[in-house]
Amino acid sequence: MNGGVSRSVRGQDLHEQEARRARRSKNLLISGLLLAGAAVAIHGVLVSAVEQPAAPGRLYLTAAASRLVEEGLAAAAPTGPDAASYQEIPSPGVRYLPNVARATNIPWIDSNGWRFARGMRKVSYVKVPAGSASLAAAEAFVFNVDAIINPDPKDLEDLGKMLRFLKAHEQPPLPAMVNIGVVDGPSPQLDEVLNLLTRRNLLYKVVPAPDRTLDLNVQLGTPDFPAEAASNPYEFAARVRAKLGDDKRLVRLYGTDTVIARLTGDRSRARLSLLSFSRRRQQDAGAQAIRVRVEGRYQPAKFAAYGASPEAKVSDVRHPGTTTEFWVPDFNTLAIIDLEAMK
Amino acid sequence: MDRREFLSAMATGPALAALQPRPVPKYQIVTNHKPAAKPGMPGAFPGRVVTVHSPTVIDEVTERVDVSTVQSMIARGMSTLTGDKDPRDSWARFFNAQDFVGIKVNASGAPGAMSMPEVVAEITRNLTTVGVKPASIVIHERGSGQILAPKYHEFVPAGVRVESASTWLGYDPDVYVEVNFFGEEDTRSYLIRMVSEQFTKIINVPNMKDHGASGVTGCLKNISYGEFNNVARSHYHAQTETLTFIGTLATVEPVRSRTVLNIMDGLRGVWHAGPFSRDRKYRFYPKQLKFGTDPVAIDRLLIDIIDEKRKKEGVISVWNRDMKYFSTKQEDWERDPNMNRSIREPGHIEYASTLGLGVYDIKKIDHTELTV
Repeated sequence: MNGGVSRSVRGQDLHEQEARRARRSKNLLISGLLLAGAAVAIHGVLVSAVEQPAAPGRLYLTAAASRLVEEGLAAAAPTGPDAASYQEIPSPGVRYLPNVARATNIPWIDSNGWRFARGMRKVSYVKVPAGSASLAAAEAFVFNVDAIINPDPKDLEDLGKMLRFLKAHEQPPLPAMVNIGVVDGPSPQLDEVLNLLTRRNLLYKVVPAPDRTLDLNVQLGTPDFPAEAASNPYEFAARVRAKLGDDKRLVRLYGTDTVIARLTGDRSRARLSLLSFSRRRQQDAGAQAIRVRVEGRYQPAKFAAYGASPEAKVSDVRHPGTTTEFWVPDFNTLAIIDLEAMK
Repeated sequence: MDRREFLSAMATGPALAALQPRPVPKYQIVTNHKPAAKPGMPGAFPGRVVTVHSPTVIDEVTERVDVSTVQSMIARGMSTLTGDKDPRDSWARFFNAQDFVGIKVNASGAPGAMSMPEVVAEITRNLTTVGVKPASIVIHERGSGQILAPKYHEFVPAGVRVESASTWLGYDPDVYVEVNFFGEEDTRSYLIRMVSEQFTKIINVPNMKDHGASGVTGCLKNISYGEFNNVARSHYHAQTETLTFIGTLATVEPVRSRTVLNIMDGLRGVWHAGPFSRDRKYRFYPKQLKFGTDPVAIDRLLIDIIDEKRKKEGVISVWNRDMKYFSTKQEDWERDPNMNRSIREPGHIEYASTLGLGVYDIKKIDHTELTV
């Protein structure tokens, strides 16, 4: 069962086809399907709002999850020509790679956030290992894409719970908030660079040309970002971080290296979504699993987290300078924090 | 370069430069606490250290501790430190009935290496003799797993609490040190909240241990890395940042002001592969307790104890920075005491002295040794 995707591609072919598809999607992005919104200044930090489709992304399930479709938690996956427009992407997850200097393992996150940033709007999680379906659903939800999920039968109960959670917290999409522009180009390293920026919660959008409304533009081949620097995407992401400066980052997370943040919002409100990729998907440090810093002065209006108790809430809200900080308690896979801008 | 290569380069990069001096990182200390008029470190007796030895305090075979000997050692140590005849007067110089006292033990190597429950119990008993209520005494560690292993609750008076950051109050959002060592994402180390919001005084009870990154781990490291989170990031690589991070954390208020007494538990020690004690062959028995308010002076003496033991065992000094003794493989440095997992930084103690935390110059340390 492949969820109705017309063909299966693997390895390098998959990579190249993804890149081509992404570039096509990017062209659509440029032509106006996804419009770059006007930049707004939040306490001196330029934040660009990337317009989103008016409706939330839709989740579809293959026949493997027909029971959940019958319960009305998702739609049945399209078939035939409709299915061909969905691009196959890998399942999100995390791998723990050995750190050669110590007896420790470094988590390596496999997120599709960079693919969505390059314009993919209709995707298919064809191969979803057991234990990953709810994360795939959460990822698609957070990045507001239409997604077909082909879950492992063992995941149906958990996936059902996640879909109920997502339905309960669905809202019309808000523009993505970013302050870095990455100028698209033909470099084969660009995908990995974008992946590392996503992984490091450096909030960016892919742009056809430098966007002066942003705090930082990243263009390979410029003096600040020489092409050869991209041969090591890890170092390159560090360079981007250094050029922007941590003080200007829209979101900082302390206490985790396996959570990806997405910030959406407008002048009056914001939604911070936290996706946990840790192996157990669980951030388990009690009421203070993660300390969050968001640029801008907000009051938390709602906290909702998959796997958290209904009483769970953010705590120790502070407003140092032009920012908002708070603890996020334990959660599993996805936490949503709605923020209201302070007058 | 694939992902594995990135990670490999990231991990070994610093090792290649290990012999080059590193600049002091840019530390940003955030705290809403002001220093006391006379901070606890170096406290009332800068440069003064009292060492009390006892050949019978611990059985090297069974590791059973003789409680009455511990009681004598602590009484002599405290009265010698302060110059009072009655040890109760010595304790009363530091603590009174209004105090809420945190006892910062070290249980990271438990059960093989830890602040001995018998020593901790005698400290709590002395606190109660000067009016500190058992409910106002908290034996604590940062990690909940570590603090449970020694079973302190079985040794101390009813009411004394045994807590960790994850069992009580968590971390203080208003007290932290921000620093980016190696490009890590999480650049903050938060202070555990019971220290800033509950304790009026802290007694620091470290062990005598080798440490693969910091050289030795004594008073300074126990009160810094043991009270703040996200500290291991400073020693993930061959070259670490322990040289400056340990002392910097120890200066943060209110840690510096409230840590008024150090009692180093040297009944047992670890001379290699610390701070843990997975292999008993690296354990030894100094059979002593050290007393002082000056953590630097005590730790300065600790360097010599660990290094002399290592010399006696015929292995390299904690000061040896030769890369030929470095290995990335845990099995290498666990099996061979001539292998280092990191470039040790015993210089962190002298660095702490430059921050005003105590006296490092051995000639200026007023060291009294007794035997009971």
